[in-house]
Amino acid sequence: MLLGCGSSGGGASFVGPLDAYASGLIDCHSLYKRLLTSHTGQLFQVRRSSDDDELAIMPLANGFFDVATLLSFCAGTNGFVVSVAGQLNGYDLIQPVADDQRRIVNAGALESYPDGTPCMKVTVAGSQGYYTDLFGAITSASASVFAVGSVTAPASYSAVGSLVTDTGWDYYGNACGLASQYTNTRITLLQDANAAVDLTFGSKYSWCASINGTVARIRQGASTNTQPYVNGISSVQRILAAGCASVGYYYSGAGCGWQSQAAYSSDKSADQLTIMGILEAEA
Amino acid sequence: MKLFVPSSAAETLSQALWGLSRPAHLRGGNGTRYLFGWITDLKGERWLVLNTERQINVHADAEMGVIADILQPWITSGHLPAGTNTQLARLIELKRGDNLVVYDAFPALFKLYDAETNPTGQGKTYAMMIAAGLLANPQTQP
Repeated sequence: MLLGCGSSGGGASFVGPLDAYASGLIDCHSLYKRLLTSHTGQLFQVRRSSDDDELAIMPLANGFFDVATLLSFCAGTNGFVVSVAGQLNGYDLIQPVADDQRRIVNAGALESYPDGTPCMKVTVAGSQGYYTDLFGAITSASASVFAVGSVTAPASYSAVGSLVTDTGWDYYGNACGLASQYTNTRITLLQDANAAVDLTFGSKYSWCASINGTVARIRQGASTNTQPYVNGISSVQRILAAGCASVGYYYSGAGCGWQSQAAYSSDKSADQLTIMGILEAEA
Repeated sequence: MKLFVPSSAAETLSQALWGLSRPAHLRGGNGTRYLFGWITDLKGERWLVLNTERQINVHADAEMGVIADILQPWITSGHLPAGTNTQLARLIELKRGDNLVVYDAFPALFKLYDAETNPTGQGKTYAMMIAAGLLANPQTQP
């Protein structure tokens, strides 16, 4: 299906999987798939390493991203995701720092999880093994769970760019770690797709910030040496009520901590970091 | 390796470094704008987070004017040799259309501190940043 041919843009029969939730979202993003019938633009923008040129990647008629165009553009080189389109209101998730962009094409081949599902990969030295989750979550019917939210940038981070560096993730887990580490920060979960959000952590630390929103289910990942904390509570599996959940992770060991959320900054606002999670189904 | 280089002009410098590969006229609105990220440490100082292995393809139209402007105060104050900008311009000229390991172009002052080989170097590793109390140690976080 992924490698099938088709015209760019949406077919008349396409129905966005999130059409029913559009009224409750700030925005929604997916590298992998068109989520709304109303969205007919690009899914993401890719930069190739050979000459740093960039290209918008469109959805095919079936909604999935145009792999053939991506691989053609990145033939024999690496491709990095620059931005992911906000499919509802145009709040694009942007990583403007070249060194911190996730790799989606490696030497002409699509990056993938061990099971072959396409994904993005962090390539910064010391961070190998991080897979982001902007896609990889939507291959099975039970996995199309995601969340969109916003977090107020810590006061000590005056520039959006500094929030989105990998070093930020390394030090603080991610935006949620940032939120938990600093006062006057918050994460608001605005919408989830299925009344419960499965957050699976293949992580050593998951730092929590309160989420005002729907019920979230927190589950420890299958990786060894995990010690997840959910609001300070070590948890294997925990059902949390509204107002208390975690979408953060920090992974310091070897292997793949791919079951978590990804976060990028939208530079549409100087002090807001748009976060999102596309969450894998339970393995 | 990631190296932390003190620079109050980290954002501008990062943008200028990216400009060596993609001059402004080739960049789109939502495209890549910086080569490296930057952080603010726990004391409020800004650091460029440099990837010492990062290569860029120096564009035929690459200009180093902004980089020269950033370095000039260091030169004026005597922290960098007088010929730094000239030397850098020569290197950029030499590398047009070719790959450049960015770290190689950095003056020794901004490279990794080493007591024996580069005692004046101001660059720090992640571990050095934590040891200096400039970054929080994630291992101690709950």
